[in-house]
Amino acid sequence: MSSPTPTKNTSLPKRLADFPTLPDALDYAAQGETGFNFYSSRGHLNEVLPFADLRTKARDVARNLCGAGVVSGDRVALLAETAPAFLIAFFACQYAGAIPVPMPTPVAFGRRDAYVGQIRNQITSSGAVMVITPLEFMPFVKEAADGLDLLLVGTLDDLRAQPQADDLNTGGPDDLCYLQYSSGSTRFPKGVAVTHDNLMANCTAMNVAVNVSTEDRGVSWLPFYHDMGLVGFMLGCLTSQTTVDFIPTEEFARRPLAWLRVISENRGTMSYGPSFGYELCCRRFSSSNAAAPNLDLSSWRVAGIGGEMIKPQVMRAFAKVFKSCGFADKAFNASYGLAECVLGVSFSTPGHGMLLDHISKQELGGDHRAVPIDDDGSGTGRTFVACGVVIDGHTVEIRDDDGAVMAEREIGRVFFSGPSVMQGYFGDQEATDACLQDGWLDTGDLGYFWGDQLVIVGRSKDMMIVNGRNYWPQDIEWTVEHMDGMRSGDAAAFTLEQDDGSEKPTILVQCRPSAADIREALVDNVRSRVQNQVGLACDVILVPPRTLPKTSSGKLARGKTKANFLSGEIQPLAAGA
Amino acid sequence: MSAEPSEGASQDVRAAVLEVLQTFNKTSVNLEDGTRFTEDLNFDSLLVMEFIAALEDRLDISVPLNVLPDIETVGQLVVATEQIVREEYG
Repeated sequence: MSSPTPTKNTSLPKRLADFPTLPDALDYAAQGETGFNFYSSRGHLNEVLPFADLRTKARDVARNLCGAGVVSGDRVALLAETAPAFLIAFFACQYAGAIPVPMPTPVAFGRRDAYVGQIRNQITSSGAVMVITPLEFMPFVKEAADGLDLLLVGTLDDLRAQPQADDLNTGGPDDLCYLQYSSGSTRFPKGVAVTHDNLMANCTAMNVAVNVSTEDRGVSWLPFYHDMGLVGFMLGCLTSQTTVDFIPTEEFARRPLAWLRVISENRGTMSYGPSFGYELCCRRFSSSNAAAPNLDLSSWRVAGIGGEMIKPQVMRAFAKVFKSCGFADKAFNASYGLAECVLGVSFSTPGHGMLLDHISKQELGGDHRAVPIDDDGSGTGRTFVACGVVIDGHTVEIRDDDGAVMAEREIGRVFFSGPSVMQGYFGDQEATDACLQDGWLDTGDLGYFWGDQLVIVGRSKDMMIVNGRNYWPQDIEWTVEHMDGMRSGDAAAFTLEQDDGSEKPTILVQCRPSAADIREALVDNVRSRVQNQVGLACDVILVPPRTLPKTSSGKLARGKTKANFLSGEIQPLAAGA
Repeated sequence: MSAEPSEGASQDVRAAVLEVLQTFNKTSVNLEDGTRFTEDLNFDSLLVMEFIAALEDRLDISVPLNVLPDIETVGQLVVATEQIVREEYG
C-alpha cells in the first residue's frame, strides 16, 4: 500500500496564498511533496494525490475541456464527491479558464425527484455547458440534464476521451474562480460568484488567523459542495501547500470516529466541523460501549467550530469524553463565516479555547442589547460562544435598521467589507443588489461586538440550518402551497431558536376548515409532505386565514411573521381534538 | 456473519434488515414492506447514515450511496440489500 503525503515539504518554503490565481497556487504547491489523501471510514488509505500529480492530471484534462469546446468563462458542473476525480476536474477547469460549479451528491432515502430537480436547477441557473459525474450517479445526472443542450454529460474518463486542444487559457486574478451554490435554496438557487483575487484574499487571511505553519496537517470530512469543505479544507490548504487527509462525508456520517482515528494516526493539527459533527462523535462513542478508545488527539491544535450556531454544552461534552485521548479544550476554535465572503469572517485566537458570553434574555429580545449576567442556572440568560476576531484587511460593522453603526454590546445586523467579498450572485442582479451595496455585504446575520470579539446571536435572513445542513423556507412554503386546497401565501416557514442553541423548524399554515378531524389530517399531511419533499421534520402550526403578514409588494413578510408569532399577535388554531 | 449465501439467504437478509431497523424504530411503528422511512419512521439524513452503518456491520457489506434515492420503503430496502449481498457474496 502506498503511504500518504508527508506533513512537511523537504525544501519548498511555505507561502500563504499570496498567488495571483489558483493555477499559480497549484503550480507552486506541485514543486513540493505534500498533497491530498483519501481515506475510507474503515481507516483504509484509498488514494493518494500529491499536488504534483494533481497538477499534471488537471493540465492534461484541461486540454480535453478545451478540445471539447469549453471556452473561457464557461461553467462546468461537477458532482462533488470526495475523491481525486472531482479535484482533477475542478483544477482542469482552472487551467482551461472555465468556472467549476460543485454540485451535491445524494444523501438520504427516497426523494429521488427532489434531488434530480435540485441539480437540474443548479445546471440551468449556472448555465453550465458540461456536467461531469462519477459513474454511480450517472442515472440521476442524465435525468437532471435531460433535454438540455450540453457539450458532454459524462465521467472524467468520458472527458478524457475528448480531443485535446494544444493551448490552455487560464484566467486572471479578476476572473471568476468558481460558483458556490450552498447559499441558494434548492428551488430558487443562488450561485455565489468569487474571483481568484477574492479567494486568495480570504485564504491568506484564514491561514494567518490560525497561524498555519509547516507543522500543520489538515483532516476533513466536510463535503466539497459546501464552502467549509471546498474553501476551508481544499482550497485553503492547497494555497498554503498543506497536506490534507480527506474522509468522504457520507462515510463520516456512518462512522464518525474514523475522523478522530485519522487525526490520531497522521498527527493531524487542524480540523473543522459544525457542532453536530462533534456531537455525532460523542453519541457514537458512548453507544459503542467501548473502553477508552485507543486514540491520541494531542496533536490537534485547531479544532474548528463553525457553520451553524455553536452549542457550548455539546463542545464541553466532547472535550470531557475525549480528554483521556489527549484532546485539549483549548484547541476549540470558534469561527464565523459565509460563502458570500468566500468563507471566513472571524476566527478565535488559536490555543485560547472557547470564550463564552452569558447575557440576559430580557434585553436580548427587548431593546437589543447584550447585557452580561451571571449564569446562575435560573434560565434568565443565554450563553453565546464568541466567534473570534475579524480577519486581517477586512471590516465588520454592526448596524441598526436605519444603517447607523452601533456601539459595543448593541445587537444589530452584521455587515462585512474587504477584498474577500463576492462579486455577486451569478446572473441574479436583483438578489445581489439586495445584499451588496458600496462594497458592504449585508450578511443577514445578527450579532454584536464584545471588545474585539464578534458574537453571532442569530440570523435575520431566511436560511435554516439543522444538523449542519441548509434548508430554505421558500422550498418548504412552495411545497405546502402546492398541496391540494392550499393557496399561494398560505405557509410561512422559519426556525425557532431553542435555549441550547439548536433551531426548531416550524411552519405556520393558514387553515380555513374548522372541523377537528380535517385540521388534524392537514397537520399530518403537511408534515409528511415536507418531510418527503424537503427532507426536514417540522412542527406544523395552524393559524387563522389572513394572519400571515405581507410586504408592500405582496410577498410573505417572513421576519414579521416570526416576530408576530413570538409576540402572540398570531395565535395558533387548535389543531384538532 | 449471517451473510453466507445459502438456500435461506433471502430470508436471512430480510430478518437482518428488520432486526437492525427495529433498534432504530423510535416511533414504534409496525415494520411492514410498505413502511416509509421518512414519513413513518421519521428518518432524517443523519439517522439514515447511522442505520446504514449498522446494517453494513451486521451483514458485512458496503451499501453504495447511489441506491438510497430510490429507496422509500422497508420492502425496497430489503430488495436492494438482497441484491448487494448477492453481488458481494456471489
